[in-house]
Amino acid sequence: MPCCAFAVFLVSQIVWPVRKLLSFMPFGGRLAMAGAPDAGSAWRPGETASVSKTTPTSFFSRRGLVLALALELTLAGGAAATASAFSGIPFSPASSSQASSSSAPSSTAAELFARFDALHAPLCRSLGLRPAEASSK
Amino acid sequence: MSLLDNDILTMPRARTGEPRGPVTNRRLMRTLLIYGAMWVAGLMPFLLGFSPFWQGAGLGLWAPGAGFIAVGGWAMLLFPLTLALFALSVVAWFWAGMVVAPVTVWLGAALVAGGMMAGPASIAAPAFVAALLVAGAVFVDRRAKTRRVAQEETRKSRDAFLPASLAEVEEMVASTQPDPRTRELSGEQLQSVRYLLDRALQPLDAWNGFNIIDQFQPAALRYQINHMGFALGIVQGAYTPNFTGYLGTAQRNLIEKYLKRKVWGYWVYESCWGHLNFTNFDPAAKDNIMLTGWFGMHVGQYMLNSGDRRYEEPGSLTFRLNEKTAYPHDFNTIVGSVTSNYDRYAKSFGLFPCEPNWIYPICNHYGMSALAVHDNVTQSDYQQRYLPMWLEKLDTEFTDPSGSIIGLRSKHTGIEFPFPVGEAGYSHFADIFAPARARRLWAIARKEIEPAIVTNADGSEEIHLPGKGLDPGNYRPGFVAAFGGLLVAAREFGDERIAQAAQNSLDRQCGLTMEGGVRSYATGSNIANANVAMGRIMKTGDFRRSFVDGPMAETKTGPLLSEAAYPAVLVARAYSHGEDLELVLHPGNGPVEADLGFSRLKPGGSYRVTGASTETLQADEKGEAKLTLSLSGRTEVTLTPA
Repeated sequence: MPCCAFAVFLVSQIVWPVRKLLSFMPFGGRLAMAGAPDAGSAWRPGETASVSKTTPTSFFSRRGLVLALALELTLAGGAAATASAFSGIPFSPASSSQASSSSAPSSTAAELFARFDALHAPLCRSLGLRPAEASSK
Repeated sequence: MSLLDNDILTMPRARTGEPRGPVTNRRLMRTLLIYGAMWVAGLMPFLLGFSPFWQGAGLGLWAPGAGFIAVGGWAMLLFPLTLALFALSVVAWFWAGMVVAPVTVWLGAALVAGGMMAGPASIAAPAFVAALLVAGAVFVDRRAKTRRVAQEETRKSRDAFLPASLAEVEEMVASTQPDPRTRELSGEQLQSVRYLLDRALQPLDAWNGFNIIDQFQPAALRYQINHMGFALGIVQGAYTPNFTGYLGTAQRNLIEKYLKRKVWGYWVYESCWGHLNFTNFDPAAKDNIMLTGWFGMHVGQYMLNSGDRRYEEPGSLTFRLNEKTAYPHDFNTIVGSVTSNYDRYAKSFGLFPCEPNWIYPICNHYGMSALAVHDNVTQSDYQQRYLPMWLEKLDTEFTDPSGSIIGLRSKHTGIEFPFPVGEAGYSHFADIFAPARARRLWAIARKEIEPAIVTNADGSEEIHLPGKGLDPGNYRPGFVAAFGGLLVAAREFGDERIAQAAQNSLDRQCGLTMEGGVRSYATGSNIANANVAMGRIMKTGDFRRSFVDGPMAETKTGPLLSEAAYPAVLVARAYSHGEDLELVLHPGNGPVEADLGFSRLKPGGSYRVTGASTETLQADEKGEAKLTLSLSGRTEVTLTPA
């Protein structure tokens, strides 16, 4: 269902970045390897200047940024692919239970699925996340 | 009114049961009213059937990005993305005083959402956002109640142990006062002092050994400079009041490094995006106690301990922006900026902000300490004028139900945020201007750290803190800053048990490094190491003394050791009882023929010398003389009028 794919994406977007941002804050963070020597305090007279220019190994490092971007694209791509995969399936509880039974899961699972679908289908329809019931039939 | 007669100096104001002060309550109420108005404004387009633009923009006023819910479809993905961006903008607000960032993201997202509306919004959209907000409000309220209960429990526990702990602290403070006439740095302490001197004696434009990350938050250069200066100020006043030479140069270098735009230039940005001021970037004008309070304290301490008054000269502390623009200041105008801001905020929070909007009580402790040292250098009466109001506001607006001072508060919204300082962190600053309160703070801190102290098999004690720690000087994990803070506070109150436990913890857990006669801790930042160096040389009351008393009066007229080479000659003691001079010197790089220069001798006077091959020393008409001596280990040298 596109709306469920969206829900997963929505939750991931809220929880994941906020957790990451909080971890960057001084009072919650773990930004680099524990025990790593500090280049500033390690400096001794006669050494080159560059050693003192410490940069924290943080969430915002190049590698971290690439990883974050890759994760973001994967999640968004997953959400979009799931949405389009489900786009041809009828959305009413009755028809979705038929669809489930035809693809072989147990009838209890199909019933649960139908009940869950009935619970949130109206909200998702009104938000424009899935087609109106009449047009989908 | 005598300061000593004022009860508020000794006891925090009794709590009235109100979790927040009246100014904070008014500010929070204003924030709620503004948010309520935004709610109503956001609802109106739906109730009155306004155009889709206004419906989308209106819903966007309820929460950052909420307008995208009204747009519907895949545009709703922008809601969580906007929330993430808003969180980032709040970090920018906190990190660098960027007041405009959250406002821009919130209102900007509302306008964009309005622009994306293709038709009237479904009523489900505001219902969905309202449900989210109610859930959020319930969550926040439950957390606040849980925290309040925990704070009340903490207060009860403190009430139970405080009288006994306070009596112990009073006893320790009274019984461990050092004799100022006999003090000498040990060889190990000199290794810590060298850590500071190596960095401070570089050319003004060299920054080797400093952490250069950002200039906004705790890793900023300015804080490193100030804390290195504090440590050297204690060396000057407590151990070597009659040594100028490279110790004076090092302290003045730090003060003059501070005037580099690289150090204070952050204020140009904060003025623009925090105060919307695009023309006057004077760092010692409005707010910015993180500069004026800290720097005032630093310069004042140098002046008090060295007797050097050059920074009272107008323009002696000039912040140069570029070839055309400079902001001329001196010690008096820097501290004057603190007092004028206290005047400005007297009817609201009393304490004033660092970055635009954010009021940090810890920075205001530096600010009040700056007033104290100014009083002691110039005989002003700032403490008498400002301290009672300051303490009253601290107790009412910045103290939580447990009795702890809060981390920081937003001036605009009244909202409180956490910031890791704690009783130990405040205690030695409070000792400068309110020693009785300071002892209460340490009496609490020492008992609350006690459960973390473990006894090793060899009988020594160590502190085991949970987690991986955080060094605010480099934003990395580690405990050097935490142990250093405990070491400083424990030494200030003569608590040798906790000081030794902190020292053991540093030596065993923090990468003790001994290289080239310099002692440091590899996992700690520069500021953390500077603090540790200070803690290692401190004895009871040293922090307070270096801002309140300065060196003994008899040292102020006696001869000075004014020339010695660094690091060939390390000065462990330089003390005059008025006319003589007692030195203890160590070689820094192995045996050496050391050339020493003296000043403030009696012009044309003759001195008996002990500890050198020369037996007499003749001063010239300027009261100056030179002496060469062989230095191969700890060497006592005395000059006595013949």
